[in-house]
Amino acid sequence: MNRSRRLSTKLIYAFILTVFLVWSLFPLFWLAITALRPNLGPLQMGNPFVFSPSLDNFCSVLSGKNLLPYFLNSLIIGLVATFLSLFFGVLAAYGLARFNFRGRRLALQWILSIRLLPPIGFVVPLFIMFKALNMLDTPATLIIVYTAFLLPFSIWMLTTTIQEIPKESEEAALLDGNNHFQVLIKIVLPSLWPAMAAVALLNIVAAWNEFLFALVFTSKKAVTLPVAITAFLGDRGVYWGEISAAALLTAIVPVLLLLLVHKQLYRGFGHWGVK
Amino acid sequence: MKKLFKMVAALTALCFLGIFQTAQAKDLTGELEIFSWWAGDEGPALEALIDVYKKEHPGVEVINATVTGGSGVNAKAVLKTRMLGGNPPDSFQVHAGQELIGTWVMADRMEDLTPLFEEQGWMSVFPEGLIKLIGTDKGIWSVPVNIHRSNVMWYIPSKLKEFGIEAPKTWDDFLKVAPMLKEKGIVPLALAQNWTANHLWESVALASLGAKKWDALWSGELAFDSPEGVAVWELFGKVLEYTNDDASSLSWQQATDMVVDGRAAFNVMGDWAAGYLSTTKGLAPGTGFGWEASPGTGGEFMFLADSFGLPKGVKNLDNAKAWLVTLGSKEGSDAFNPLKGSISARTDSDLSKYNDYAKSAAADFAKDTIVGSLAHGVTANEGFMNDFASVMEMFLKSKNAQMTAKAAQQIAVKNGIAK
Amino acid sequence: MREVSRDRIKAFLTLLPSIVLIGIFVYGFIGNTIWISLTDWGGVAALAEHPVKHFIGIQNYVDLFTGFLEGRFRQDMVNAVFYSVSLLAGAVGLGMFIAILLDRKPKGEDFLRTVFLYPMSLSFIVSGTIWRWMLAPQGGVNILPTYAGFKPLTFKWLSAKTTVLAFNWQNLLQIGLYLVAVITIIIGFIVYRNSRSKSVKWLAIGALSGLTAWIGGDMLPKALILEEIHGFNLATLGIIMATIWQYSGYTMALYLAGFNGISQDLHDAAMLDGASTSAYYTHIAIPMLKPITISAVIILSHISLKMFDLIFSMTGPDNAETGHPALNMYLTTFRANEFARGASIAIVLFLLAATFIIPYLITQYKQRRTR
Repeated sequence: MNRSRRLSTKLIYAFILTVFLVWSLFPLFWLAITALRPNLGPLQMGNPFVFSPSLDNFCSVLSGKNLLPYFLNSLIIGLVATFLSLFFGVLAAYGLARFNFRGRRLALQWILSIRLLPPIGFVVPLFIMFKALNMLDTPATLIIVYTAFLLPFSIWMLTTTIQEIPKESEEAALLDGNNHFQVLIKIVLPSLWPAMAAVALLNIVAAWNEFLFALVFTSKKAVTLPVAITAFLGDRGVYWGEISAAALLTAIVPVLLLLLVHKQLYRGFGHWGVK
Repeated sequence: MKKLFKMVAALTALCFLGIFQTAQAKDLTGELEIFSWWAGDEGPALEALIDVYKKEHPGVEVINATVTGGSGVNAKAVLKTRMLGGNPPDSFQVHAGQELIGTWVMADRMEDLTPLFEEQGWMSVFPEGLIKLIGTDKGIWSVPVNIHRSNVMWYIPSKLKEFGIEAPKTWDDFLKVAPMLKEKGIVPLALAQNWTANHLWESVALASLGAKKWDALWSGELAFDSPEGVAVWELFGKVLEYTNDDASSLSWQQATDMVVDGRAAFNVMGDWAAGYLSTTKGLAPGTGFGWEASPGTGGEFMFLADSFGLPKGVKNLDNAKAWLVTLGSKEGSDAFNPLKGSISARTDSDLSKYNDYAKSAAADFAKDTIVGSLAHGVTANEGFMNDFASVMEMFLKSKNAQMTAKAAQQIAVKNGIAK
Repeated sequence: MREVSRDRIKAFLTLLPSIVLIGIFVYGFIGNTIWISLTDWGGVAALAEHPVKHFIGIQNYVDLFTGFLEGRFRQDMVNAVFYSVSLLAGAVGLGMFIAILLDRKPKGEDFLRTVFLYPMSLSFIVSGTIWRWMLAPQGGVNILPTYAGFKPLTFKWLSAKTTVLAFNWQNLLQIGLYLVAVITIIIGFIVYRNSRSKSVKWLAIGALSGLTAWIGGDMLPKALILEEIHGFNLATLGIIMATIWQYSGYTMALYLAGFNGISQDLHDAAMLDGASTSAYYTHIAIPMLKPITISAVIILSHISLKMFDLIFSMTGPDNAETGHPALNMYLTTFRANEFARGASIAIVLFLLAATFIIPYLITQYKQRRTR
């Protein structure tokens, strides 16, 4: 009796989890099969499951539509902005976690709260500033903007992580005549790596996927992938095959990164979520 | 002070002369960047034009910068970023008329092309009415490359026979046959996403007002909330009842497809639909598909034109000038238009190169009353167009003609069209 | 003492680059946006080399909320509210549910939680593209039933014109009062257990505002001259679904990490006391994870307030049924060249964001002090 009940609960479990699995994976599967469908014009629907797969769409977006420069733009901008936000973030986090000064807690909360402001509100003044500096459509523009907008969350996450690292060995090292900078490099950083990996992942994904600023501040040379993709949403309908291939190429990088560091990410969520 | 001013004026004049004389120089080199939102079906036409240019100026490397997507919104935003960022393209595509004037000419960002028009003898080649619409009292601002007609109603003759109807000559005729079609499960008038509602509106408005009052509307002499203005919305509301309810998720081609498949009887669309019907759908003009001036607008030609302008501060001025010369030339125009499915803006084009539809359109263009299109940037500036989208939404939602007309008047005042 | 002040200098130096970046970018620019929103920068010569601006006070804001022409903005605001609420309910609920399932450590838990999390790493443009394709009226999910021999669905996910829960914007004040009444009365009942006097205060406020709205009725000042109906557009369902798909994995990860943080002892103790599984979660685990719920709510509300990319790629810029203030701001600024009006929309969004940031900051600050 008891046994069969357990079995049925298990079955229900498995069923629900399968439903969620399908819900989660089906859209990506759909994207993939669309990307593999050749000669899909902007107006066709057809049967989504019956076709002979080909890589035509990928060839077309990589060579014909030449997505490669945008791919590189996204990569460079994402990497540099992530590096800078981590660099400044670690510095600030160390300062916030290890130095005593009044208003420290408030400063931390204040920094976090900034992240919650809708970025669209900054578009116009930023636009005017970069126009005045003659910096529209350069990768540097997006790097600066992304660094500034990634910093608050980076600082907040790294600070909470450093606060959980025991102070003792740092204090000993300080007494041994090391300065704060050396302590930061030698003692804090090694135990900060997992958290930094998680933060780096979140940052690079955010920079890689960012659309609004990229749309407004670039026009030709510094265009990133998300903006480039929207070109397939043409006036005459959507080029589904090509846009799917391009979208799949865009999705690969963040998904792979996520797979790579998802353990650290979960550990990170454990730290940050409860705070 | 006056002297100084005079000197400056003289200097500027000299500069202008200089600019337009250097264009004569042969053997151009360097680059030429053309900005447009022509891709897809319009791509080949632009390519043909570029080929003509390359033949004349083999030393110039042409960069074809196309920005597609977002219903042209992307292209406009990118163009703004580039113009304001001090990196204008050498020449850019823009709808002739207020779309260019209201945005870039008013902001003093365009070069006056009057000297070029005079030098090339274009003043007598392009229709006078057209030159008036692409210019202001301060100059002429772009070179038109084509003419499209907005007020055309499309149908499939064999399907109409099946339905037992004829193409309506007026909206009253249409409203008579429409309920019968609807009963049969056929959409009387296929409509697509938002801008096509604006497109339909201008045809309805022209029918309801007539050419004279339509012009009066844009010169500010006739108020949008006058009884005539309200009547337009009332008629538009009646017509809308016979359109498909999934319109906003369809592209205009999909709406045209509905007509081809017999799911819908008619479609009001610009004459780029002729290119789509003959090239993509493989139907013969006249027999495979038929057309008529949209109901109540016979003898009126609501036009729109694509044109290219010359922004201030471009990098390759001589090359850009030579590009404009190619655009306006007979050869360039007759290379471009047959492929684009439009007619030439020049009055002396070689009609033998055009298909049957274009021939009939050219004949109409020569004899009909010419009025400007709202939906495609001739009669109103971008500010009005953007606001008009909201007004249209207001109407689609409330179906309240009185209120919508009032709102239309307000945005006209706000954008400097009405007083 | 000296040690402390030296510390302060060092702290200052480590923080300096961040303060400069954040200070300039955030506060400088908010100030600038506010200033722009108080001018009349826009119209025909807005793009000139040196555009002319005049100070016009709060006229832009008055127009947004009561102006005849800005009906679209008001619908966008209503959309944003319904969108936020549905997203919160959907993503938090679903995420919590999956987390509870996975917390029981089924086989392949590691694999499953990665699969559930991946949508979060996609660009909104990418997920918007996928969902637009799936929700296309004559294709995608609507034709799925045909493979099982059923009729295709005909729901127009992204272009339905139906509106439910419609209300008249004219009666905004009245509706606002009713809302205040409902919320304060609920708070009143919640705090009843802790403090009776506080509860009475809340209930009194609720009753009063409810009464004012009810008795005041038509006599209350109208927000508009004309009647203007807004409501929950069913066309936004597709967008809500896509966002929930993308973010339920994220909330799941937050809860899962939280559940793992609860010590096994507590779980065992509860079970020994005879608590059922559902009782364990509803009475012990989830209340313990209140901070996680709060941060999930804040992050999701933030996402729903800034939503732009997803709508842009799913329904395009001109589909008013699915409009959003952020999209409206973009079009107003970069298509209609109305820079000042756009800035005022941005500030309204800021204020909305502030309504949940500030209470959060205050409670966090208080909590940390008392700790």
